[in-house]
Amino acid sequence: MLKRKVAFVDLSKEKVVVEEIPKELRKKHLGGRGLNWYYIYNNVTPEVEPFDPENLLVIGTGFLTGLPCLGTGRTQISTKGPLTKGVGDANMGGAFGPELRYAGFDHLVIKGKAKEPVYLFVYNGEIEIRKASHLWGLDTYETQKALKEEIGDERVESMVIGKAGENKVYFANVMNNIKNAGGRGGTGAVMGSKNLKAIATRGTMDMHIHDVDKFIEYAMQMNQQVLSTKWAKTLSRLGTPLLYDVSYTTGFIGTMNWQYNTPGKEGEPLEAEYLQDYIVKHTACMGCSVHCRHRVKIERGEYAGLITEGPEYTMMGSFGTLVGCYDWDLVIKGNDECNRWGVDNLSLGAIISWAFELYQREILTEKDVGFKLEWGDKNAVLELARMIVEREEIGDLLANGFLEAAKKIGEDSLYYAIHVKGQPDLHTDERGIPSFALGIATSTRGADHLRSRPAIDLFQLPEEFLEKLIGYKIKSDFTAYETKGILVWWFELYFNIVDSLGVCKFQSTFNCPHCPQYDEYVPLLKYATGLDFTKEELIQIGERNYTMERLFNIINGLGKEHDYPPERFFKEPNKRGLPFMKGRKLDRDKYEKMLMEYYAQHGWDENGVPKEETLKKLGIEKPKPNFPEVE
Amino acid sequence: MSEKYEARCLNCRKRFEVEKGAEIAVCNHCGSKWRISWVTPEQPKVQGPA
Amino acid sequence: MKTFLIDPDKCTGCRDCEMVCSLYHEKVLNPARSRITVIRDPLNGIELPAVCMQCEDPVCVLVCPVNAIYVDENGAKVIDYSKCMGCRTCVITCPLGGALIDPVTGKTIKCDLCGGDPMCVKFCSTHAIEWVDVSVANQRIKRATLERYLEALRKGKG
Ligand code: SF4
Ligand SMILES: [Zn+2]
Repeated sequence: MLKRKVAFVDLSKEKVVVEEIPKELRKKHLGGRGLNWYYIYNNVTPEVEPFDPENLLVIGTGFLTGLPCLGTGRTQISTKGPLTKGVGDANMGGAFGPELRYAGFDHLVIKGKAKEPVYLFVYNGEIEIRKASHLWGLDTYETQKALKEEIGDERVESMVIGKAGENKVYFANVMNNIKNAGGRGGTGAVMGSKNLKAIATRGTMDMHIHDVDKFIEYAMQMNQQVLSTKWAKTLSRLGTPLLYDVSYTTGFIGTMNWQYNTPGKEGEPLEAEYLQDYIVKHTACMGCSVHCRHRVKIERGEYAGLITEGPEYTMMGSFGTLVGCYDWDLVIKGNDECNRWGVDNLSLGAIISWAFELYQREILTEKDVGFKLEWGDKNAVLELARMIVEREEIGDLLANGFLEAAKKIGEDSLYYAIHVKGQPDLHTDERGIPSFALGIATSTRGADHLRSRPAIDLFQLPEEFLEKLIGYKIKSDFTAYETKGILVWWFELYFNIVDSLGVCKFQSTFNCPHCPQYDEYVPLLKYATGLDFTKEELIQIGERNYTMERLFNIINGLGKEHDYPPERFFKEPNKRGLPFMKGRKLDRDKYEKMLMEYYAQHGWDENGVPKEETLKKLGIEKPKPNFPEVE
Repeated sequence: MSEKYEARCLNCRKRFEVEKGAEIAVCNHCGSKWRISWVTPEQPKVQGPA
Repeated sequence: MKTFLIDPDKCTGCRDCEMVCSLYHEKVLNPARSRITVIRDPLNGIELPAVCMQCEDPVCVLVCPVNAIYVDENGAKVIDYSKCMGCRTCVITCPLGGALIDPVTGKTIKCDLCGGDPMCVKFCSTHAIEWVDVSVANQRIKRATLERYLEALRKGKG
């Protein structure tokens, strides 16, 4: 697992430089997300705009990507993102990352812009820049099929963009297979801006494991530990839609664009159990024993005959509660369209539902849109989605995200836009759950649930248990603000490590306190790579990696004033839900204290800027460009 | 195999006992009434309000 | 007597089997060197594990010009590398794709049942591949067939 390679690709100059990843960098950043941000932090200066050729698009496999355990099929894609103009970062499942490693590379650092559409072909230690004009315009499925055909190997794995990426929709994804998405950071748009349609890879090279016998035994033990949890059993059967049952029953699911926190009884048709009727088969990312994915088929109705994969919980908001539709058919159909377009369904849904509320409030009219946006109108949802991806009429405006669209629609409209740093929020309604609210507010890629969400906060676990896990006294009460700054801090570092190792978050201490975490990663790293890390060292790597992302945001103008959840969460109380959820909203003073507790825990000052002594302790220096210059 | 099946109550967030195969169950801690689905024949979960 | 029982409907395409197979036999991770292969095409909805079924009357043993394939105490058809010359006759003739070529060494490789306790089976979390007594296998196959039959009958009536 050591002596692995990074390739620096300059698309403008059509040059590739390959280097070995030094062991010291592994010790400091591991791989995946950590190492990606090491390259960006050092090479992307603030004046570089997301779509400038000088921006980097970095693809990184986790340090443990490609192992037969813990769903290590994951890849991190990082860039300066168009939505937030700061950290644009995405983590993708599937099989692309492992294949890239078997092709001899762990990281691809891509800059420049090709003169015409190209794709990269990465094969057993070689990288070729190939013409892709004939692929431009194809959807993500067609592109991948064409690549397999043209390369002549059905084991080719590709990371591609669709219409959304080509059109530089600010929340475009990169995609692998049907539903594996590098979403949330606008990485697909940056890829499109570089005229890079795809990266195709195939490898038959060995990956070395330090201690094979111990590793095999431990990998099996890890898988068993995960599979023995109730969480994994539920996820195996229902996939992430399982979360819907909890959120709509309790009342923390954005409904009709966060006007309500649950649809109540009306939302019953979307309960996870009803998805069972559509499931043909369960599928998994490479190296995963849980298989949270579904292959589904719509048997009846207007979309009859559609076979696809997914949908995830995200889609149940986007084409579900957020727009007042409660129909699995639409969720599945919409999900398939999004995957073909290569667009972040979550951001797309939040922007669509925003437009619907603006229409309800007569800020947008039928004349602006071209048709009515009435809650529950399936066709209006699908049509507006298409227009955004195709950048047609008002869609062109919405494709640039809330912040830029509001410049034209009117700044008042931003109150109804549920976002942080310009990044649309998942359809969770965080106003009743302080730790969740802090998490979306401080997340380096803007509002997001996968950067720190302490989902276990909702379980009200015993405080002794939490103290053992987190290392600090944490209040069991999820409505509390005190100590939750520390809880979010812990999860920020922990998820950074998970992303830097390439482990699947669903097999970590995310929704289940009994899944493997640091204590298990230490031996796993030892057996796989031969490197010794202590738990404390891993936590420090998490802090180092996280702080570099924070610094990148700060030099790009994202400081304390951007560390707040949406204003609406402070002003309007929850209208529905279980008694303990109804009427809840965020308290400004308490939030402020929680934020300060959080900064202090990171070693940042009261403006959220990392202190000198913190940087020194972590060994973070000023950015030093190190992209090899090629002639 | 013990004959005890438990689900987590969404109201009080404690685990409560569910009878094998039951479609409806009441939390013995807080009295909430839930519709139940079964992830496996041994593992019940709250599906939604009854 | 034991046999592999493979159920493609349960295969998720995770390829833990391939990874652990290469690790166990070649001491490296490299699915291309695995004895078991998942024919996988998610874009068209296909996951199909394929491995040597350890035939009763194996064609590979029959056709090998240097008699390099022998039957061990577990019934595995095993390649004796002191004899194998890598002529690929078994690769071409095996109707199940059980014999393969290692892309790194060029050697012919095939499943040897890991000495009686196949690693792929141990790592398959959905039991898409199992190594079971033939009587158990027969029973399960019969049952699955009957269930399909009954299902068809029910559909016909409904
Ligand atoms: S749990 Fe789901 S997302 Fe995670 S590795 Fe498995 S299939 Fe992929
Ligand atoms: Zn209860």
